[in-house]
Amino acid sequence: MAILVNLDVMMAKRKIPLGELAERIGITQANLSILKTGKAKAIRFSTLEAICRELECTPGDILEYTKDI
Amino acid sequence: MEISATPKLHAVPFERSFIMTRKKISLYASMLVTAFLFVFIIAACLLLPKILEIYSDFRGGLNCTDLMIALYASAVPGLVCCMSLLKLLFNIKKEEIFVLKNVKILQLLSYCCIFVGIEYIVFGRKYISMLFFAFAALFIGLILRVIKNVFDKAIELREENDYTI
Repeated sequence: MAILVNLDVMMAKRKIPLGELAERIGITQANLSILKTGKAKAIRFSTLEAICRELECTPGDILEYTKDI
Repeated sequence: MEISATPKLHAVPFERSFIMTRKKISLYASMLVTAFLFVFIIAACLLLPKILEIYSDFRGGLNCTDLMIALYASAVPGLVCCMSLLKLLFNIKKEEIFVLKNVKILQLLSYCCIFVGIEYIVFGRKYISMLFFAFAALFIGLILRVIKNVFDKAIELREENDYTI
């Protein structure tokens, strides 16, 4: 995908494990791991807002656009 | 007097007790009818020579061998269709609906119907009513094909929805 999800970087910075973050956001651990590994096709704004709220960051810290060749 | 807007549920004691909704009853009814159809086709295969003998006498000694070939040759796709429909219904019961294997089942169903239609035209062309049945079979085959196209798109949409976090 041309949009990269740098969730693990942010999670390491804030030292929050996957299960705890999933619980705080209100999604399942499986869904969060789908998001982390880049298999997700879309993300809801409500989920993005919850992630940014818990990790105290902005969407640009988590989502990155790369041009694939 | 209040008219209830909720669907009627009533608990039925089975081995595992679950609530029988109208949709579940409809699903089991479809399975039952398909199973009966399967048995009916087999019974018709066994009784066909006798029936054709009576029909042949009724038509004054008409040679019905090509009609017999047409009907027997359509029994095999018929049985295959019944088994495919049962497989499809079981998948629906398992909550696997817009899935690749169901698309393959629908494709098989449409090809069976089209095969039966063409085969009726080839072997039953002397009998005018067989041509009507052939047209009906081809029509049903076409409808199933369009439903298969719809399922293809539905799989795409479901996958998109499932992978929306």
